[in-house]
Amino acid sequence: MDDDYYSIDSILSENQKIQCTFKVDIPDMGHLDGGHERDIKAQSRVQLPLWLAFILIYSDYADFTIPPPFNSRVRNALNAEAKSVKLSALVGAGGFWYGFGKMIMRLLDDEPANEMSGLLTKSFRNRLVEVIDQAQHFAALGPAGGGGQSGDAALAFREGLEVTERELFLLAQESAKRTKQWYESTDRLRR
Amino acid sequence: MASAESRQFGNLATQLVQESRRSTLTDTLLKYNDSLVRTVIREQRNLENLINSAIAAQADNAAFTGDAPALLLYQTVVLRNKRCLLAYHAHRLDRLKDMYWALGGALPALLADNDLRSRLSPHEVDFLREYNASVMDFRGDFSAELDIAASITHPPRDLHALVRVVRDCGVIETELGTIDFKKGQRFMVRRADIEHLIVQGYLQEV
Repeated sequence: MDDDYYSIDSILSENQKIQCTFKVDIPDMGHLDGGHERDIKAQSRVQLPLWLAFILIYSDYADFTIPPPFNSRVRNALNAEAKSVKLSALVGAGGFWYGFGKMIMRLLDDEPANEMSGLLTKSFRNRLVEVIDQAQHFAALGPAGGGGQSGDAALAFREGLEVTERELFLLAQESAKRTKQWYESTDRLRR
Repeated sequence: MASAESRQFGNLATQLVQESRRSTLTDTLLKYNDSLVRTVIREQRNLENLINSAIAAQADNAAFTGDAPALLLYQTVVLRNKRCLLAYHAHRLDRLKDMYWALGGALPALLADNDLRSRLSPHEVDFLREYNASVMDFRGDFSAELDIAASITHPPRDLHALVRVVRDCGVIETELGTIDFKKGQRFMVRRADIEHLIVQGYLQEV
């Protein structure tokens, strides 16, 4: 995912919410989290989308906590076996787990940011093989196929794919299908 | 809950961008969402008023310190909405340009599609016309050597092509003189003369 100004994916990644704790009072802004308070009081906790949270955190008006999709429990699970974690369940359907992580990195200092970067890359690398592998199988089996003896685990993994992975899955599937077609077709104009 | 949610700044603009994403996923150009675009712009005006009154309130009190979190928030929302609006339109224009090139730069054929036409805003039609004019202008510079609008995905194998007429397309000037292409007929013609007709679906290679 790129950070281009016009990137639809980037814009949607910034829409993930993050828990912020305000350090100052801000009058007349209570509606920010859809609540009913009139003002924002110092020490109050509010769920804010990242795009709005950035400026508050940079300006030192608020603090943030690492959101649940990246807490230590998830980290441990990913380190143990990246393929068994359902990323889609962490960020909701249509969520960008990797994109979200990348955005969070901007808020962190060097060391934790590097750690986060390592987590993201390592998880991605460990899961990618399985993504592509399954996509190839799916393409080979055709629409009626799928399953097999380890079908349940495979299905669970597919359900746990987050948006970026899902896109890669579809691309790999399409590519495998086209390669197959290309092998089976003949160049009729060849002499 | 739903009403409180819709009051939140930036939500409507996000809906707009989600529409773009849906459009990519389903590979279709959705109808131009005029009312939503207008609503977001109205929100921008509303924010401008809020900013102005916030500045006025500051000025009344004392010297402006710059320490105004509310102002900062409003400004962030304004910039966010702007980004969403621009991204929505840029995404649509990208799709339109793709469609334009898929037809080999045949604008009339693209605009003749009423189903597509009904999904465009008037400005988008204007854009296509002007884009087409620019392309044609540029293309003219090379017309003797190269057709820059020719397909690059299927390079030609032969100078001539045997084609079958799928739809009547009237009289066309070719190297062999004028030919009246009638549905069902077959011709052996120089590819360069009729390339654009194949792309637009009037002729089919046999």
